[in-house]
Amino acid sequence: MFASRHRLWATLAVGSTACLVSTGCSATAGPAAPAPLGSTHVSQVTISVSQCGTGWTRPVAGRQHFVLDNTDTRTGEVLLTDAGTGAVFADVEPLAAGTRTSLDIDLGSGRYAFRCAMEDEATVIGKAVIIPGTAAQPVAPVLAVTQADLIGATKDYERYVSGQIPRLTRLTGKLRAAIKDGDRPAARKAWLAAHLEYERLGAAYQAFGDLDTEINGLPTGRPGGVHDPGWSGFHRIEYGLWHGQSLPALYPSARALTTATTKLGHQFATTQIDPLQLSIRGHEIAENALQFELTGQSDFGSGSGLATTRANLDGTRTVLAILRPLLRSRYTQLPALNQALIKTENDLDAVRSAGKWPAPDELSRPDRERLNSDLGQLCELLAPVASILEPRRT
Amino acid sequence: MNTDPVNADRVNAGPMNAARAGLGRRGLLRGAAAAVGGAALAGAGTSEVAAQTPTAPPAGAATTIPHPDRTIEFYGRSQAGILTPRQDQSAFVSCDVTAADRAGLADLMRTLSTRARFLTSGGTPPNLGIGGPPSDSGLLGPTVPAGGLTITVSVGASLFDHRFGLAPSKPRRLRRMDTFPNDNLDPARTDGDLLLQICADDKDTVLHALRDLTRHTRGGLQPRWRVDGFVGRPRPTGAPRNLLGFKDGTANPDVTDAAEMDRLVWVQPGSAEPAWTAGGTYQVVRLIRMLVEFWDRVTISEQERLIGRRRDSGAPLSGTQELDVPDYADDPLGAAIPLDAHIRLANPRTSTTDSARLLRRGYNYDAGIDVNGNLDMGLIFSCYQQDLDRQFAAVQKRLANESLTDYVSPIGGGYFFVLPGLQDANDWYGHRLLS
Repeated sequence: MFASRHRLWATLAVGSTACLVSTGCSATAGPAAPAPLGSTHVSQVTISVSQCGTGWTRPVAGRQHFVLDNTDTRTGEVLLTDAGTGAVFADVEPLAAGTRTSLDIDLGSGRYAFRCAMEDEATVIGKAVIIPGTAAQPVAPVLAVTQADLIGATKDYERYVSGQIPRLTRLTGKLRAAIKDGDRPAARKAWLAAHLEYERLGAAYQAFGDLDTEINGLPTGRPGGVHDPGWSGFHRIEYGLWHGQSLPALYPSARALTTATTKLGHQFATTQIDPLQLSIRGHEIAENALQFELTGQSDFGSGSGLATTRANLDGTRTVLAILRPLLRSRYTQLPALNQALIKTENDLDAVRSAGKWPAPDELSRPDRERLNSDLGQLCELLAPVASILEPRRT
Repeated sequence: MNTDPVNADRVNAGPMNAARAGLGRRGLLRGAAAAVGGAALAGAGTSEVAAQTPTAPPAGAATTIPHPDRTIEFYGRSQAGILTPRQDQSAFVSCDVTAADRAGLADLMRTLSTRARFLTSGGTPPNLGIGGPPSDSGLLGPTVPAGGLTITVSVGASLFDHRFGLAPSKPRRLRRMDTFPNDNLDPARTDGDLLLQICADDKDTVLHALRDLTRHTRGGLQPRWRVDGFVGRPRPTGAPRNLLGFKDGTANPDVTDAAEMDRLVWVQPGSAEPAWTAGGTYQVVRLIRMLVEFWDRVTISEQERLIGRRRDSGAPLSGTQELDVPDYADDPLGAAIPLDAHIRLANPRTSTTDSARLLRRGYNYDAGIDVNGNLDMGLIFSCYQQDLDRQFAAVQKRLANESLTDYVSPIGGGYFFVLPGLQDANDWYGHRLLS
């Protein structure tokens, strides 16, 4: 079904190449969005191994409307780059064989080159195109990051997590022991210490896969909710500890938790994490805190959402420190990001009194709004990290 | 622009919310598409159909003929969104400023100005390439239409507390909203440092603006409460109806009469107010829940005596047509229009109450259900006046204990001062206040 559609597109594309810039063409131009009017410069650019980037014949500074036409038999990725430095202005991925899409972007004066990275083929760099004059660059290009660039950082992160896991295992062991001893106050204390240690690792959004579900899963999506027999891990134990459930009944969960954390250690020792995961992690630990901790969604009685948020900030800081060498030359807002992280840490620490964190719903409105504001701003500034450090073919 | 009632009926037959204002403007085609069963969502399916017949609208897709894009002037002595005839859709978003100091507040105001300038004029958002997520939410497509958008920024009394050193510049009448005898105010839906009033021809334009504004101001501004409003179409003619079923807004000062606006709405230079306020105005927002289930169980004659107008025609009970002017001099005992009818208390139409008239620009709101299963809907009463006490507060005192209070319940809102307008591309909200 899909393949035949693609072939149909290809036919349409061939039929319409002749009338690109003339008006009234959009009706036959097929899927690509109609060219915007005004002083936009419209160019149809061929994307293929043999003709990468041809068709941009009248380069003028200003608003560009490129119709990227993949005439190849392979799906690929298209990068518009600075011909000198290789820095990337735009990345379109994927562009399926025989399809077209538009790329709208403002460009200043400079030397440009399209790069076509077709599946199973070496990247082809198109002929350099010069936009004459002295028009300023509206948005600076960014030097892309490759898988290889991220290997060092990924190894650093793996080393960090591996280094923390023995401590995590020890702390979950203490929790198990306290539950076995029937000492609820000790168990609650041990629960908090162990859980924060885990949260410090930055296991946001299923980063540790199924093991994260075993260790830190929520009852959401389980038919029985908090009473679902399949629910286990930190939050299951939290629910029991703070809802008067008997400690012997919680013991199997505590034992399963120690098993899972031990497994996590083995997993880190033997498998490599995807570099893409690391760049996403830099952003999403804070995103996770905003979504689950500040809302109380992951609070099952301990009221420790702010403590968890603080631990998540530690995790964010650790990941950012590892990524910093890659970000320094690429992310102009990095100083603002550092400031935002410090401010969030300070504002969080300020609501802690006598060593105790209030639950999020106990915060005064000004404190609450300040923290919402801090975390929101922090997430805005972290979002580009994931985009800039997404590994790309160059 | 407005369509005839026949078309309106056809639109009503569609699966989309018939209450949505502005539907009628899309006219026949929209109704026809809706009748086809326009539940189809755009997306892959749509483009595949388009592939077969690139020139024809995709079958099954909700085809709309949008009303023409229009731009409402952003610059001026005063902000837009006050004398501007009500757009169909709105959001009232009260925020608290979380910026740490005065410099942070000024940054926030500059950012709001920059975003509002772009959003109200439209254009193509920049392509940031791989440097970050897309610069725009995409709600309105790759090129953002102006969409009849206005963004009106006003400030509450709490902005003038100790945080920013603004106490000496506070407009004289500005204060936390008074609690009137029949109020049932929820602190979570009352007051705020800064109010964003966002109005546009379409709901997606409002939401696009709201997402853009909050995205760019997260570090300095946090939403405190929000309510979205809509205006019904005239049913069948005249002022649109509120959710009590009565025409609302029939008697309003004439916004085309500049002298009257200077007398009733705009703070004038050289007044007793701080100099920076000239061109601004006091805004009162009252979230007035209407107890519509109860109301619907009240007889028509009682409803009409409570309001003072006929429900069908909107005519005052002393007249025949909507625009007939109620004559209270001839009716001193309230035989035609009861003495405590809403319109009579609100505007007794005497020479002494003339200067108390205010400019109303309200919206209906619809916000789900209450714990008892009753509908939470009502009026976002929003009005503008030169002097909060001479106008709104005086009217409100006259309305104290009116019989209508059994059927309506003020639950929130706030007093705000609408900042003067922006003069040019270098100007920003609160420039004169903060400089």
